[in-house]
Amino acid sequence: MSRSFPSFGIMLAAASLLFAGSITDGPTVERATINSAIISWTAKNPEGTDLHYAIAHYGTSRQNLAEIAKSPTRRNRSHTEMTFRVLLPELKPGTTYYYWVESVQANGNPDGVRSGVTQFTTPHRP
Amino acid sequence: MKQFVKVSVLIVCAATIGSQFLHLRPVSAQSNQASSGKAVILPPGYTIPPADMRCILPGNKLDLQCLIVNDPDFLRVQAEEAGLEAQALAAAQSGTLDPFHQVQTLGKLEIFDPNLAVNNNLACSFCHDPAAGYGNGASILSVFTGGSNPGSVPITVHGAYPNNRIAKRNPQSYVYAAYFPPLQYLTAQADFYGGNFWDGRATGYRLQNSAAEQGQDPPVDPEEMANPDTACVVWKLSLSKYKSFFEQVWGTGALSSIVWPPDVSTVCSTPKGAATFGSNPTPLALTPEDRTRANQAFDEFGQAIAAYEASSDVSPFTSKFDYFLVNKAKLTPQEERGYDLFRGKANCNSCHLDGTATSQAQSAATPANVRPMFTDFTYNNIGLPKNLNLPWYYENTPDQFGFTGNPQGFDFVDFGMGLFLNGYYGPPPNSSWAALYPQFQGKFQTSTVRDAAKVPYPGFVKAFMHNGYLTSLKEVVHFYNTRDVFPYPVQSGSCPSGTVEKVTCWPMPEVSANLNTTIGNLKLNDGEENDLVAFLQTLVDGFQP
Repeated sequence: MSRSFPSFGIMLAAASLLFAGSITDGPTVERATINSAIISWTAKNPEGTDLHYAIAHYGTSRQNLAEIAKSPTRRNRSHTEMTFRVLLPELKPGTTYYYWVESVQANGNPDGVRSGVTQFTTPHRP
Repeated sequence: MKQFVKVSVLIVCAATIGSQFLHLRPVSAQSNQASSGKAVILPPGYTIPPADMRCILPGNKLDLQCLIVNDPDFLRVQAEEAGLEAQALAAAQSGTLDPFHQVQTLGKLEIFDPNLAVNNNLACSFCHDPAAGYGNGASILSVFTGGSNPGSVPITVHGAYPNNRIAKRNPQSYVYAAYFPPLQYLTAQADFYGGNFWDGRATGYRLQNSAAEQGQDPPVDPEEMANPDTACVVWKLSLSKYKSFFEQVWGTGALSSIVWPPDVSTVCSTPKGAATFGSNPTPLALTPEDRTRANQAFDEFGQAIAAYEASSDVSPFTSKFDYFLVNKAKLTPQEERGYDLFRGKANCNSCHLDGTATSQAQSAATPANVRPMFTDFTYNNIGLPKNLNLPWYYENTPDQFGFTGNPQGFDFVDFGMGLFLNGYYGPPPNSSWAALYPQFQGKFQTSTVRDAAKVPYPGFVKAFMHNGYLTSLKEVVHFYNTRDVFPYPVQSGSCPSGTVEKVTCWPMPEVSANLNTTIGNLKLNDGEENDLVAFLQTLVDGFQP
């Protein structure tokens, strides 16, 4: 019997279950236009550098989330939670995008918080 | 009627009343020019001074030479600076100043001296009006030019617009500039901190004083005071009424030991950028020893300016909020709500550090920092639209000296710190910084919000941000609150029908790279926006407890 390794999608789903509990709200699509979207989520204040990046890994196939959107955001040291927002530019109208999100410090170190994979669809051109 | 609808009605009325003067006509053709957009929107409650009406040109342009002699704010600022210069001179000549106040007074004399410009007609203080919080002091400029001020050099080429050299940005307030540390890239934070100017290029690396370095730039900026050589500034100091006082502060011979060449007057009365100079940054032929002495005096000039900026005249920490921190003032309920929003839901203090150690539940009576700077000294791209009103975009043809301020015309993009790191002003002083350009393009200094609300009189229109796109604190707060709620892929002046620019329409960012998402959808209602504006008023210095 040949060995088979779990598909990337299953591994990702498993990883997302492991980490999803660290996000306290979202991720949700704050706004989607025909060519852009903003995704936001809230997590415990991650500590680390003042400058953070909200990151979305996305694509039009659940199995291939190779696109990366990255938005700088400032951490408020005195808040217990932090809302992250990432802008996804140059999207196509009427298209379903799959994505998962995470945040990193300015030095690139991950906060160790990431979401599961979810999806949204951009509106069609009017 | 909701406030936004009221504002919309006012704007429509103002635009209608002014339309005979303000309606756009096509700009005279240049191959890379675009139309500047639609009619200038007059801020609610603002009326163009009658004396300025003759200075408004077709196409929303200004006759800057006309304004210089007619505009009431221009005249007010010039009168104020003459009075303050006389006051400083009297103090200097009194012989009663201690060393601490001597260097500050010297800086004051320098800042208020119009003779330090190439044409002896423009003091630092003209663009940095004390009564306006040391920023632009002319309402008409806030409305029509993004706050950018005419420099020392008129442009006399027939039919040229603008008819004066004029800088590309809104003059930045220098309140508390002396508290901005030298620019440094902190590896642990992976971010820049400190520096002065909107784009951080006044690094302060030589004197370890970013405010001093900032003060040294406008005197030799071709768009501003336009001296062709830093030594020309020193020469002018050596002719000033306070030359002896300069030497009292910095030492005998600081100015008088320099031997000036015979052509010093001719060279120093020719503006920087004149074709006759070519690319020579030091056209004044000094001996090496005199050049060294002149450089030293120029540094002393800058250091005195920084000393004045650190003085209680400019940076006194006497706002209502400062007295609130020591329980000598009580915030009104609205100001208190605004303060809670500032450090809570609106999240302003993630960048505009207010010195409190904990969340809003904690009393402010025990602040972590009793002199909060209301900035974290970093740089961010908040996504401001391009301000097509800037006359800078039209400075794309040579003036009478052969100088072209902005060859790119409307194609010019203000990348802020990116310009500095990418060599627009020459290589950055730390060569390793150039590689950081991608992460910093589009970013501008997080200014202190201290004195942001300071105005010379009620009804004064103040321009905010590097390009003066926002012309009230309400607009500033509304932009931060709703940038991502009302975004449109248009330039300023082209918001879709049914929307109102700056109310329900925000044009696209001038630079989309590194767009900061801390702001953009704060979910504040109109009343909360007003509460924040009320709180910002408590940061104006000069409060009497």
